[in-house]
Amino acid sequence: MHRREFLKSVITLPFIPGFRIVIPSGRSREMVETGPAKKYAMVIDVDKCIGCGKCVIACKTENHVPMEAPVSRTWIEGYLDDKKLVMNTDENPFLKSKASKGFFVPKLCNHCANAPCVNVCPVYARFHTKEGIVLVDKETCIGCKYCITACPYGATFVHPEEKVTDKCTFCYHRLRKGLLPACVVVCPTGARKFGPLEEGSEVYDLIKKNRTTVLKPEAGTYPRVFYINLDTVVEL
Amino acid sequence: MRTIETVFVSLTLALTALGFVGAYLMHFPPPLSVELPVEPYESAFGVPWRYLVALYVFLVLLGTAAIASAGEVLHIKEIEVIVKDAVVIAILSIIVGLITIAFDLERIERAGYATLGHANPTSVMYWMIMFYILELIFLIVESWFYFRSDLVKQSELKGVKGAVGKILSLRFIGDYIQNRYFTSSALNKLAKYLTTRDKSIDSEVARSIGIVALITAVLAYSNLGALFAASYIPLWHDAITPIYFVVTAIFGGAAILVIATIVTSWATSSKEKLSALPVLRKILSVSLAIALLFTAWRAVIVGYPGVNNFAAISVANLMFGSYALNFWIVEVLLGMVIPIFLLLLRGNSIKVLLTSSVLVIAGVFTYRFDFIFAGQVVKNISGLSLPTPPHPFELMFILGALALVTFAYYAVYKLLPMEVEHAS
Repeated sequence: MHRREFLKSVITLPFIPGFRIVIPSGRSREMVETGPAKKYAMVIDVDKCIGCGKCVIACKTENHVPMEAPVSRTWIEGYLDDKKLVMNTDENPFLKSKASKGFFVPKLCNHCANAPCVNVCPVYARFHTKEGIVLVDKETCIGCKYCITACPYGATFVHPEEKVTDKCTFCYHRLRKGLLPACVVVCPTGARKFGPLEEGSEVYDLIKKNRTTVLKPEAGTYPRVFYINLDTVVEL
Repeated sequence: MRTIETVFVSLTLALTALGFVGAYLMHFPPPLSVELPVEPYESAFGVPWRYLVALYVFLVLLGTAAIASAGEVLHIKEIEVIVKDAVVIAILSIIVGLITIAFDLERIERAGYATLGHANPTSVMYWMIMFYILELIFLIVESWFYFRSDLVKQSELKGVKGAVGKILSLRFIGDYIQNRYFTSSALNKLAKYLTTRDKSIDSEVARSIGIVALITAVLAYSNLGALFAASYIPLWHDAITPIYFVVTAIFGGAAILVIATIVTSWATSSKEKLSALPVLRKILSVSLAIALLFTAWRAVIVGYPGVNNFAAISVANLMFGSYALNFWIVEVLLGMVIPIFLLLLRGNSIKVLLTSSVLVIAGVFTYRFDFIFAGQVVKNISGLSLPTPPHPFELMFILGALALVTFAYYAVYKLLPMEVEHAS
């Protein structure tokens, strides 16, 4: 926002009802919101994640999240025994540890079927696409940050440059071109798998043949990110 | 007295200007300024709702509107002498509250989206905005009827006050109709009404609007509680929160009315409004006692083991952790327990009543900040420095917003007929 726009908006009292009447959904939004389609999901095998952080770098590059900003659409949490660690420290806590177990949990927006962020947004800037993916309408978001407090997974943040809320989109722009999300493509161990939830697909088989769980099932959000071999301690 | 007034006006105006500078710098920080505190919040940095949200909650939950409307609706004579003050404080605090929350938005130029055009009726926040706008409209209409007859009288004066009276009472419309000699009897009746004093009609209409304003106020206060309660934040997430917010709004409103009544009575050398103090003392004592009970049971219910581990952690953090000093000393002891004892034992004394009310306001002010922060911090990864101090720009804005409300209240006293003899 330019300074002139800022001052103009302050002077013209933006709270007066009807001050700005905007068409709620643009043509592009209508196209992604309606109609039958495959529902997509991501499956993450925790045992395969080595915490290399390539997914974070790929995601930031692909989605224009500044590399130096302490925010990310996807991030990796490290755990030693039952202790959650911050992974952006200068020291690698895993090297000195005498803990009996350690593992990494990649996290991202869970694209909940019953998404709290969609419900709480006062301006309907969050919505489900026909594929069940939760997107942010960046031209509508006012930056009230209610979605950040409402999200049980802490998966949304204010974009440091765009000044609207941002989060994982399952790389929707790539998906529409038939490409996989950037984090899935770059993962060197294949810990992340992505695809339609339909019989015969890879993610469908992984969910069917493995013991999977979702994060914070008690929240009743019905996430579309499934975890294999996840220690329940991460629910803390 | 004159010197005090000059200092007061200069100070409040300077602080208001400082507040707007702070708001501007928050959105456009100068290159070499200290950056806003960066704290880890899972994928995000920083606690999303900070001091401006807490200030907004404090301002819009000064429940003077509910007290004024309830006093009018229930025909409480003692409240009627301060009804104008109560309504004016409510209007000013809600307006400044809405300005505050607008500045907290990342995209302030889109604030209008939240009113029309992009409505999401499933959002509690959308309804909060609607209820507060409705309350503001009802309060403005209600106050017009309270002031109208006195404004008509004031319009006969010369100078600024006369002009204000003529414009705000809409007498200029009445004069225009009368000068044009319209034949319509309805128009002539309207002209007669607008140019003459008729307190009986005004009071009845104001009372009727007061009922609607009271319902809207309670809906708005409780809806704000529901806004927090509907989040995945354990400290906020319980059914008591909306009702608790109504109770805190009432004792906050009663305390601010006690302070306003005593200060304005001293400043105007008039003792008539002091007759409202005994009733305000009762409202304050009872609502404080209820709030204390709510605080205790809320802590037990939310923090009880075996219900929700996150909730237990947040209550432990509030009661025994980083916020323990704020909680026990400022909120509970100074903000509730001591005022209750003072009000019960020596509440007849104006000085004691004023001290109790100042303590209550300090307590409720601290409570709003602790509630916001202590609720959110349990979601962070680690390394959050607590209690998080306000950024200099935030501090500037807080001071500015409070100064703006105070100055606006003073300006209303200067321009509008606030005297008791004009009240209905």
